[in-house]
Amino acid sequence: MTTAFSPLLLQFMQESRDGLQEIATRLLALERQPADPELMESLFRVVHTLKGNCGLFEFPEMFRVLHAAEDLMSAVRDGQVAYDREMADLLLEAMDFVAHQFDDIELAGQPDPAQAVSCAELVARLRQRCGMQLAEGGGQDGQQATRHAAEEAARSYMTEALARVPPSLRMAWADATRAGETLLWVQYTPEPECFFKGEDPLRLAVQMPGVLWRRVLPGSAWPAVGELDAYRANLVFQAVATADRSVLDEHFRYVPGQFWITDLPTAAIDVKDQTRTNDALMIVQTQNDALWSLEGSPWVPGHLKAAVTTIANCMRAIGRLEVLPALEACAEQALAQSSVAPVVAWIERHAQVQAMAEVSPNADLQEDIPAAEITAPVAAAAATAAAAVTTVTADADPPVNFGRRAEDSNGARVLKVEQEKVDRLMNLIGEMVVARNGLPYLASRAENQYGERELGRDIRAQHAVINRIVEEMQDAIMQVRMMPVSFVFQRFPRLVRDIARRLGKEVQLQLEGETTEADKNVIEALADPLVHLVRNALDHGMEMPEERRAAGKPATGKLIMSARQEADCVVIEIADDGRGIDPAVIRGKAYARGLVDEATLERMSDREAVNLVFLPGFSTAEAVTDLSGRGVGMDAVRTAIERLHGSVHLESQAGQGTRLQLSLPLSMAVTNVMIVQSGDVQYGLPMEAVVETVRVPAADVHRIKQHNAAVLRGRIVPLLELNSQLGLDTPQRCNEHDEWATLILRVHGQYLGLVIDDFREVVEVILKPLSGVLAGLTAYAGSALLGDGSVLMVLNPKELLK
Amino acid sequence: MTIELKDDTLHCAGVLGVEDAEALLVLVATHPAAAVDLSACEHVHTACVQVLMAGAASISAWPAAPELSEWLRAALPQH
Repeated sequence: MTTAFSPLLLQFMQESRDGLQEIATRLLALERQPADPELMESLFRVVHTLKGNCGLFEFPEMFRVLHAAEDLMSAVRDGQVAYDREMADLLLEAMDFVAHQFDDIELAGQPDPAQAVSCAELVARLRQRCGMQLAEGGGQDGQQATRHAAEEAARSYMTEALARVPPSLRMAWADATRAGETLLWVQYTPEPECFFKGEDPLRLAVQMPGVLWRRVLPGSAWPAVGELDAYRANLVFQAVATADRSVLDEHFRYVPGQFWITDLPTAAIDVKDQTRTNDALMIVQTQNDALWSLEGSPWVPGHLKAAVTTIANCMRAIGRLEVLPALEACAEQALAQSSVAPVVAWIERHAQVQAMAEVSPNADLQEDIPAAEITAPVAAAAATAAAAVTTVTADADPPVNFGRRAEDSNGARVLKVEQEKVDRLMNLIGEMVVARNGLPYLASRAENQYGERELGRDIRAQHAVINRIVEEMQDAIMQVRMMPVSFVFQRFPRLVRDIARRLGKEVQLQLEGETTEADKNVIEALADPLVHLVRNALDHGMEMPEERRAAGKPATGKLIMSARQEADCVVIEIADDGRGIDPAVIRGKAYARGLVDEATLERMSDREAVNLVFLPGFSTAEAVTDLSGRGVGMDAVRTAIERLHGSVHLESQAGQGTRLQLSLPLSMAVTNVMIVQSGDVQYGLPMEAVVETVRVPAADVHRIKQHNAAVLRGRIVPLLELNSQLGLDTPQRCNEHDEWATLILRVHGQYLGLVIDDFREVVEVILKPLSGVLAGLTAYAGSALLGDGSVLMVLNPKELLK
Repeated sequence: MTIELKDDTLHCAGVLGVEDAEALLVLVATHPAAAVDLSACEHVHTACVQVLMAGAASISAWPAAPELSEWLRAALPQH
């Protein structure tokens, strides 16, 4: 396995991750509608495709698990096994295992070999689900029985096949073993739909090393040529080979469960030195070959009768009278069925008997299986549950396009582009925006420095054109980075189901507005906070079914996750109809933990009080569970959302439920900042924090103790000076009308005024976070490059005004 | 690959791929008595072998590749 990621592997990983998601969605849907055959069919198809693709690579554990899962689904689809919650759990677990393997592959280039143990355990459980209901035995025993039966079938098939090997060849084998070589019996039964996976069983057979003897026969009798389904494999390959067991195992590695390798039984090699018996057996063998040639040709009962008489005479000659009744029964059966098969089968069983009697005296040689029951061989490992699978081209008539099936070539023209490429475009457009911002400066220099008014005007005109194109480009690239919210939402049905089951609660999840789009970074960063919130809602919000009934609510709780776009924000709501949050409890807790003082509590409305849960170190869970209640949840959520320049708000009605609202910018790539002047330096402030700009007359500024404040629109707003906040000695300057230029900011829901020297324009900049030595300066959100080449430091009001 | 019918013999050449199975099936079904000449074949896909087996085709010449030829002989016993 190459550790380099080939394009094929990358594509496989991408497609498979989508596939896994699809599988999970369908599994959950099936829980609600277990009787929906369409759903099962489509589920089966996805798993099947995944398994087929997996076969292109060397991921044996993943392949085995997928194979077992597919068999189980196939059994469900054929109505042999009933679908239930436990099965959903098991299949989901199998998909988790596969996802885990993908993680390993991404990290290390190949799956962790240590996974083999858990893989085996998982496969065993999947097989058990199949076998349990098929063998009608309980669990392990049933499975063992199935496996045992399959092994038996394969063994008896081997015995039959070896019976037809000419003694001369068997002598040669005996010589080979005496020379110290190991002889192995190989039986390879390709699965019916293997052509659709691009497999060519004959090629695999041809490439098998050290073959001494070979035989190919149909698994079940051929239909008339006109009715033959050429694309359904129906062959059994048998061979005797002298090669290392490990080499052969390796050779058939990609068709697990379809091959069976065992040591050649000594019986097959021992050519008994009893001329008489040998002669008799040779005669029987000849008859056998003669009969075999009759199969499929016009039926001649005379031939059969003659052959049976000959065989019976041979048997009498070597004193094996006890087998005669069975032979006669087989002959009658053969005549009735117009087929030589029963007699041939009898010969194959009893021609061996001579040799076997020597080896295992206890062998039950008289056991006469009705010939009709001689079935196609079943490879030992393959559970018989893998019922014949119809080809997947459901509605496509021939010609069938192999490798790529009809359903793969969907009409949607979707390009999968690596994120790095899009990020590069993003950075380039950022540079472009900065370069564009340089043109107005150039125009004003042309006018003011060189007195070229005409040229200045032309540059401005050109700037307008470039500006339009750049904005459209920016928008287009933003669109590329946009992702639907469903990317995050789709994990929740499973999550909610699992958590609810663990807590013993009944919850129905409803998703709305999944198609709402936002920037990839925003969407991806949303995942963890949302998980926190949903866990909280289920853990604290939802009541147990009986409690709900007592409160006169339906036993099944409702959790609604919705997304919508509002202006340039995406708003995500999580609403539950649980017990809600009691403001009195929150007040008590907050006070008890010393998070707020009494005076503040007094002033707070109930609506404000419930938002106290976002304070660091606040937790109301009575017991710390593994879900929530460690007091980091809501605080962590708020931090994460604010890092995305978003805000979070909570509303709750005690007894009625809770509603959380997250509001996030659609994109984080371009930030609008307002440039302000303070102490002869320009600073930027993110527009999302700025409520308004006012010039406060000096006369209106009131000094309260150490602080300045002003009354604006009936609200007392504290005034802070930027210079003193930044630790500069320069006092703030006011304009000629004695007015202070003030930015009204909203920080953590509170209004305050930031006094500066003067306002400048609002620009769009690409905000680069501070890195390296400067990374610790939390007072700055980052830096940006301006059109004239100067660097603008953008302040972080939340940190600055703590 | 090519399959052509000449003098009541199906002459196959090159690699008989999985996509040739249908065409071969039609030919074998419509000319049940025709012999099949595989001498110019580099490989025969399993699907095509199945067609020949089901049609009990009589093979007039085997491919040159020894291992392939051996397996085909095992699959298509001639009487």
